[in-house]
Amino acid sequence: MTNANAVKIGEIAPNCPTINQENKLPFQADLYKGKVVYLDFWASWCAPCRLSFPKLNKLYKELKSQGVEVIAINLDENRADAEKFLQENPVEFKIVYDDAKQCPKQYALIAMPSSYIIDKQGVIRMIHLGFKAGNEAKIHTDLLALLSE
Amino acid sequence: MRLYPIIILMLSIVNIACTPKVAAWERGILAKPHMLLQSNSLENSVRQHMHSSKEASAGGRNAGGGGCGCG
Repeated sequence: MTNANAVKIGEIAPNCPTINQENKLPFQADLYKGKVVYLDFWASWCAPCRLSFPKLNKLYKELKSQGVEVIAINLDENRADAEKFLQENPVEFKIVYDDAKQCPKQYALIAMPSSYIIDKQGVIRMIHLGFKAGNEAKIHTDLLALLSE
Repeated sequence: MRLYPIIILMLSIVNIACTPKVAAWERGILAKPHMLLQSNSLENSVRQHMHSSKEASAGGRNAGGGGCGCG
């Protein structure tokens, strides 16, 4: 399925509209200028997302001091499911709950998980759909390449 | 009239095709193991286990848990 509204490589990462009580703006790309952002859309029911989390956490721990920010937007229908998963698989990176499910609409998401790598200028440079074991090596290379720009 | 039930049936079939797509992030309930097209998920998992241990191969069947392993 393709979507004409889907964000593309080379575009400025869109901001997401106001969503929930705690995070008035769950993802505002402007706030992260100067950092390389790995923006991930996930849900606890999504098997590849679950697989990716420990690996993303390892990447984040390794690269955060160099200026990598990982932001994972949760899209579970029931937030408790996500919280249970995170208790069992704790991660250090930022988790945002999108109760109104506006952000995936903004990005016209077509797969779970979908991740967007955003460079220091706020431009989307890579889009990864899905996650398989071994993908973390490519993500690591991509992040390092953007950090060195 | 016997024709009416047929017309209603045909209209409902057409209507099914008009229902909106389920977005990628709305498939949490569909991803539950008991949403698989089988009568007994417990029995199925036991059968799959037996099959994989006897044949030394797995996969090619439906599986619980949504998401896309693509990419």
